[in-house]
Amino acid sequence: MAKYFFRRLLVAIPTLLVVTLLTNAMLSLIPGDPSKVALGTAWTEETGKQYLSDLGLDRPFPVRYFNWLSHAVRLDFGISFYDKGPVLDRITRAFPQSIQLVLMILIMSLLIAVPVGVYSAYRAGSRVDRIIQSACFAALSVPGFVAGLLIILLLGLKLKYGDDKYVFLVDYVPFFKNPFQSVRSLFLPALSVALGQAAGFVRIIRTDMATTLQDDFVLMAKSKGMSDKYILFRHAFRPSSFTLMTVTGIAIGQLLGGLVIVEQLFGLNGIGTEIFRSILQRDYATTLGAVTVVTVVFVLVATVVDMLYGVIDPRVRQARKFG
Amino acid sequence: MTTTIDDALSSAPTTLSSSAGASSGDIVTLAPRKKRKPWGAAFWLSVVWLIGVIGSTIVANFVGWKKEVDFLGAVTVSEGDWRGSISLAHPLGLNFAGNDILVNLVVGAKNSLIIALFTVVFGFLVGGIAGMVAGYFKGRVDTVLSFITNVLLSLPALLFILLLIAVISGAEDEAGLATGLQSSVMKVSLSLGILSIPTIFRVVRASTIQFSQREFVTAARAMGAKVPRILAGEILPNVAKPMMAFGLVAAGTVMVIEGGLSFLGVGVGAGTDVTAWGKQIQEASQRKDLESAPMVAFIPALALFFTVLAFNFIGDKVRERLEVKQAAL
Repeated sequence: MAKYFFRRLLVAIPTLLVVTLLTNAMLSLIPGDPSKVALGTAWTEETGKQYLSDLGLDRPFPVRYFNWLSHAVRLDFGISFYDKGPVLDRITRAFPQSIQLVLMILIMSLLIAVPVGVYSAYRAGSRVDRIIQSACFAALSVPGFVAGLLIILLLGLKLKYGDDKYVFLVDYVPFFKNPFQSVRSLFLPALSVALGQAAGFVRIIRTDMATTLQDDFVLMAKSKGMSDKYILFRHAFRPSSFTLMTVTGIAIGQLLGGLVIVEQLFGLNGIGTEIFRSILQRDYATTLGAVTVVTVVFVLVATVVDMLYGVIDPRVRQARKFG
Repeated sequence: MTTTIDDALSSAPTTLSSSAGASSGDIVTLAPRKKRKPWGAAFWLSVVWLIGVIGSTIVANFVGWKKEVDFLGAVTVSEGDWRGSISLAHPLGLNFAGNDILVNLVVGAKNSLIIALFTVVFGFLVGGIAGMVAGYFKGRVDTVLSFITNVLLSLPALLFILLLIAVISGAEDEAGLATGLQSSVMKVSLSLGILSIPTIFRVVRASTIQFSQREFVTAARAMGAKVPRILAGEILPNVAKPMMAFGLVAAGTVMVIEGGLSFLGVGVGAGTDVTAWGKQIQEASQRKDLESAPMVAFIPALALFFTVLAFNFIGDKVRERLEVKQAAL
């Protein structure tokens, strides 16, 4: 098992290398001079040159990339072009909140989607099923920011003046300071994303579950006199959850990278906002660091999900042992 | 889709006998007459909605409506008093900047639709051709192209599009302060098009692999057909059908992503006075007046929602009609 895991991780390394190379290349292609943004009115020909050479930005691209890479593998992402603070500090400040938000979104959407999806498959074709299907279809067409706005205005959150615009400021409480308050503070942002996410999950669960329920072993269990509830959750759910697991794994990465919209809407300072800000301010070091961390998490999760197939399905476990 | 030949053979006698009375000039069809499910009211509603949206933008283009134009005379209304601004001249009222919301909607629709169209066309041109080539040749070409696709897909979509937008639409103002983005319709379409390539590549590749092993492709090859001829004449017509459904759903998704970008202030019209639905929602949602007049934000949001829903619904129905398995998409 462990051997397989490490082999999978090795396969992920080229992907990560190319992703970082690509991000590096794209950032250096963005028009605009980072020194001008950072120095503002203090910019002259001289100070600009000095600034660029201080950060090693005047060197050719391959040199810059390998320089960055050799530091990045030691978790040194350099200093922010913006405030000259270490990038790692910025990331570690923003990351816990984003991870918590993503986990809350996943837990909430699964808590909604599993019972609804299982029921929908159990009563496939019924009126309730059709209503659930239509509702999911509609929910999937709602853009995330619209869902957020709806929740905010329906629940009467108050607008506050942010940096230069009115936003709905959520005061985030760190989890280890006060877990209850912390979950409460992120509840609405998480809910606004979780509803759409749940709709996608429901459709997946229903499709897979409806197929499983046609299987002979379900009929067998039924004829043995087991209760429907027991069959649904103990017999049928496990073999129906493979697609769900894959999609959940992909969702973690997509959510982590896609948090920027919900964070901007609720005035949160998570990893999404950090990336968004750093791109606009030409703070390439921060963008690189944050994008790399998000991608590493994404690839790691994909690997872990792959491992979990073996946990859920004994057949996969056997195949791997002998394969 | 894989059953057409068998069906045709098994039902041939009945079809022949039933068409025996046809006039001599008619071609006897062997295909069985299948009972088709009706499209349904919701489908036609979606079609009517889309035709309405597209039609109104075309009309607006001829009439010459622009964001600033009140089409039945100017009325100034105090900010935030949305309800009070509704009149015959402004059936949907005025927004916080004093622009007619209906005019805004129609003008914004044009940009959103053009972006959806261009993005999907661009994505299918590049991703589709690459996917067909990779799926047909397999081997080394496929390995390389698939690796690139996997890399691109391991960047979360929104991060990727933000980077693309920054590269393509980044602009310096006179002072050289490069904070601003100037996103024209073309630039946003190009960015979204590039974003869509890996996904489209995967779908087309999978579909091509499936068809390139069929007998008619082997037959064409045996007759000495060249590769472009096989790809365009044999595989494309078969791959195109499921892709039609996928393209419709993709158009809806593109509109959602574009709305999200506009909402972040980096979508179409960022740094210019071009308007789009997402931008209208964003502009309305950052005003304190939003609490007293939420509809100013929700009218464009509803228009966006219904349009995306229409695309998804039509796409879903087309897929059903073409009997494409969901797993293939």
